[in-house]
Amino acid sequence: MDNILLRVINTVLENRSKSTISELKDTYNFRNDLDFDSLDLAELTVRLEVEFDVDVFENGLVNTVEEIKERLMQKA
Amino acid sequence: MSSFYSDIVDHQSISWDKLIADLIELKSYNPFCFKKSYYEIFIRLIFSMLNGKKITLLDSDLSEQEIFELTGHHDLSVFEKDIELKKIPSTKTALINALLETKESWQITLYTSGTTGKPKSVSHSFKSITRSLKLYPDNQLQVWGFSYLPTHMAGIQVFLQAVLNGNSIVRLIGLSKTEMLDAILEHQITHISATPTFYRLLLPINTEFLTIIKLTSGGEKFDTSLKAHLSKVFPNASFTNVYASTEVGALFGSNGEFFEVKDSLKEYIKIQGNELFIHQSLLGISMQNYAIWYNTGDLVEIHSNEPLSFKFKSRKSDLINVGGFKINVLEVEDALLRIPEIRQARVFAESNSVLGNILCCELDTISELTESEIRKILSSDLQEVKIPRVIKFVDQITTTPTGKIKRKVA
Repeated sequence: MDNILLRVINTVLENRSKSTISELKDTYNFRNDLDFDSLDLAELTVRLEVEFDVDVFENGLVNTVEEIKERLMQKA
Repeated sequence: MSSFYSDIVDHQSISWDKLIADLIELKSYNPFCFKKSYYEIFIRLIFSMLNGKKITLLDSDLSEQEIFELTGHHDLSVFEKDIELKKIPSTKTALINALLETKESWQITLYTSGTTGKPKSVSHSFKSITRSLKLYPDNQLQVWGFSYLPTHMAGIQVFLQAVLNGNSIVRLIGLSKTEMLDAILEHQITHISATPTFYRLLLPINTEFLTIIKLTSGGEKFDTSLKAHLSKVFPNASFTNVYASTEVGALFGSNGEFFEVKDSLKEYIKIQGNELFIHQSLLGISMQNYAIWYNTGDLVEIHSNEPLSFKFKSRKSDLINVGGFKINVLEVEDALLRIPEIRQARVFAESNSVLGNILCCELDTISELTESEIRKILSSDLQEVKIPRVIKFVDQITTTPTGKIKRKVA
């Protein structure tokens, strides 16, 4: 799951010409550490839904990588 | 000292006295306002009102090409003029009184996604833009959480509502969720006006915020489950849903999904074939050469005839609402088709839990192009919000049975 998540996050970052990350830390906060805005978060949900068939934001916003993983596990 | 504006993004905390001092410093006038700092936009708005001079607000993320297309110049300093300036009032009360007397010659112009091609300008007089404004003789304690762009109609409405009542404004837009919640507590924010998307992004919240007494929502459909969630977090808040657009300003309010037409507006509203029409006398001044009845493009369902009340169903046109921004798919398709490698393009919405809708496109290309190359080219032509977030490469564009480009995903 980590590898897919890292790839999806980097796709969103690349598409906005932002610097990509080489390692995925659970503590990463999307807004503060990865410079995501609401458009990036929206894109992330779509891309994650394609990969995992889960809408991670369905029940409200998630802030960190760890929270995304929790939502993905819940539905797995 | 009474606060006028707080902004942690730009590290500003501006008192009314500082605002007055900064207004006195302004020596020349530019009819175009293209600024990144919200405070810079606010101060120029106030300056134009005090001097009864026209002002056009441009989104700070417009590309150089868009600026040129809208104004005819790349460099807006050519419009800078020395004018005979009015004396700036020296106290907060005198300043507000002077603003309330804004002259007939004042006019504000905003840009909106038109139903065809390029953004279209809409101008308003002081009278038409303040139609729904409420003046309270004694509400010095209101603190407004600012969650809209200051260059858009909703932002202007909140700005004028706060300033003309001598209230404080605290920036919330562009802040992280934690920063927003901290700002609500620190500044004891009492009022927030925002899109449903904005509220959705704020949730979930586990604590209660008691200072908020009013939440206003507009720009998108407000669902009842969102209201239920917000009521738990803001137990002292009442809710108002507002129908507003760049063309008419704020027109109807409702505390649920049904909008009741006030007696004073009855003659100016018409529903025909489920479409909402508004009389031209309610429109911004630049639009009064249009037909007598302006078709809003909104599809509504009548709830009762006496008094007239209705609820919104959807939009008829090619505008897609992405987090409160209305985006014209034709404008985006035009920009895509200007890229020589693209043969055909279809821009459409997919529903999204963050923004309500997300902009997607299907492309039929002649030679290979990557998603990031396309985005790079588009970013010189379009605002970020108008660039499709999901790009699919296809052999054939999906069309309707009549051969038109299909807009809605099945």
